[in-house]
Amino acid sequence: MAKSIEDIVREGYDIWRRNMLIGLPFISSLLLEILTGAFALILMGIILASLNIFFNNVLIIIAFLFLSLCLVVILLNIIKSFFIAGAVGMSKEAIETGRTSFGDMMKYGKRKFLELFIANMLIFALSLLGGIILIPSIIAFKLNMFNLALSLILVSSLLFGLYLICLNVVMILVPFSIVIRDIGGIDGLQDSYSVVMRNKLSVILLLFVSYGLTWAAEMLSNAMFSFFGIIPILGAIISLGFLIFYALFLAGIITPIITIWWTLLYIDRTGIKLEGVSYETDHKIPEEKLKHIITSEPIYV
Amino acid sequence: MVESIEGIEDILGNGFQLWRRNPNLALPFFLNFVVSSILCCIFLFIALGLSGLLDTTTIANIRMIVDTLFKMQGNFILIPILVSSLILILMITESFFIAGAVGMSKEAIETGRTSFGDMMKYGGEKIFHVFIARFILSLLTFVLVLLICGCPVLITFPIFPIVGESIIRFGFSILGILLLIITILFMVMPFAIVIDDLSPLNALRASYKFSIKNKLPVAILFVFIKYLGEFSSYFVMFIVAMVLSIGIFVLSHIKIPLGVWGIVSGIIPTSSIVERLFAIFIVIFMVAIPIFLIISEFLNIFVFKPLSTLWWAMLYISKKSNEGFEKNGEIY
Repeated sequence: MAKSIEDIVREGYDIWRRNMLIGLPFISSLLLEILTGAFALILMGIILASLNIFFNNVLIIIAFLFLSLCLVVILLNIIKSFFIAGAVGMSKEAIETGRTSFGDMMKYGKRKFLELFIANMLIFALSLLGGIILIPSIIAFKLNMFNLALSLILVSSLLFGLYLICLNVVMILVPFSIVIRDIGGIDGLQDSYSVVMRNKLSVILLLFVSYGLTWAAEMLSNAMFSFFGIIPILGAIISLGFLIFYALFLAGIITPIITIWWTLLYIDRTGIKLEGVSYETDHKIPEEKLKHIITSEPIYV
Repeated sequence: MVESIEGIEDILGNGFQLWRRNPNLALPFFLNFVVSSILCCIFLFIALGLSGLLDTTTIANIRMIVDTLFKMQGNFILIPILVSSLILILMITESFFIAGAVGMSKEAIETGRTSFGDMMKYGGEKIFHVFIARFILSLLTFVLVLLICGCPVLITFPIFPIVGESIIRFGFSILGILLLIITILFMVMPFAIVIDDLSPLNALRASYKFSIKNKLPVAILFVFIKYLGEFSSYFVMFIVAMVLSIGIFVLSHIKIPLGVWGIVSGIIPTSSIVERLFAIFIVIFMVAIPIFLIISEFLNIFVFKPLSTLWWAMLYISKKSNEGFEKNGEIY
């Protein structure tokens, strides 16, 4: 029996209240990313300054900048993948056993971060692939057909945006597939696609509900910010503090709740039995039994 | 028709199916649109006639219209009266069509079919109750706006202008939240009036109780309808962009009459091909905005409003029937 979205929302909230620790991976991810970004920026600045002294070549500097930017993005992505895998593992444990701990985060993060990272890179490559649609307009531009280029670029950029939206929606379950089903990156993409396609309405509904939650938080924070604006001089300092508080609030409370909802949805709609690896939807006979059936000789008595 | 509605997803799915089988659910909204635009036109003409602007023999150009508008001090009392009476009349006609639409969706849910007669029946029966309830609600909103935005501004603005400005901003954000809460709390008010035969005040109370009791489904449905509208506007934009790009392509190939070109080049000096294209782009953009508005309005009338009315009615009926089940041991 499939749960309705209301049940999922209610149950997810209850699970989060019993396990507020699930906010930990998101907060630590946020902090670590900020730290890494700042550190990389400082390091890049130092190296760039020294490069500028020794080599007076623009090309080298541009190449260095490009390479280091790629490196930083990859590093940040690895950190994010680690903590997201940890968070999904934590919420899975919380749903399964009712309790979760810091150890779960480390366990799932260590086990699954590489596959999640690969999947993320694949999704990124797929979204770049959509850029092919912009090529005709570029060709038209090169051929000095400005009017055609202008009309093509309008349509193709909108198509590109549509493609990106669809890709994001279809790939929204990738971390959950990878961590909960314990499969690799490419399989994760396939699995996410098939699950989303089978449960379009639920996925869109939950997507809108999570948008709605973020929207409500934003509205409240706007009210708070404008309230601090009334206080003459101290208000600026308070609102800066509140900004930090708001970022932590988003990372520590809103995102974990949304993650638990998605985990619940994934587990419910795929019918995975959490204790083992058997699935409710396809009644597979275990391989050993199958072998026994095939190889065993008929019994003559 | 309503056999087993369990979650929001069932409501959405069943409602969609029902809407597809009964496309005439859009009728009240379409008629409302037509009637209110006719009424607006009539009032515009009355206002213009009263201010003497329709007398074409005396008015030759825009400058004179502005002059007459400045001169008509005697109409400063008349215009507010006209506007408020227009709002009142619009509210009455809208109430009729809202009651009709809710009645139609009720019939559709209960029997699977609905007709124009249902709209007239329920609209005629319930117009007054719906109007009174809506009037009370809008009075409440008006008082809230006055209390939250008006009073602090009037008090603080002359004394501390800078603080006053930030207070206005705070007031607006608080007002937005409050208006949202009011909208959600009294969302099912017309349904309580039409489906449950309640009087206006009782309907307001029932709607409030309903929303408090079923916080989660109400919030989910509200958010879903909100974001559905937002996402669909992306598709409308897409259609408009298609029209726009085809327009650019066609317009840059045909010879534009000199008169039109004179207007455009009056705005932008056009010499090179890129500048010419830019001018064409702006012209078509001006055309695209009305197209966008018209398409989204039609989408609203023919898809979103009937669908959302049906969904709210289904939610209301299903939750009410659950309540009845708890009370009497049998379904509604």
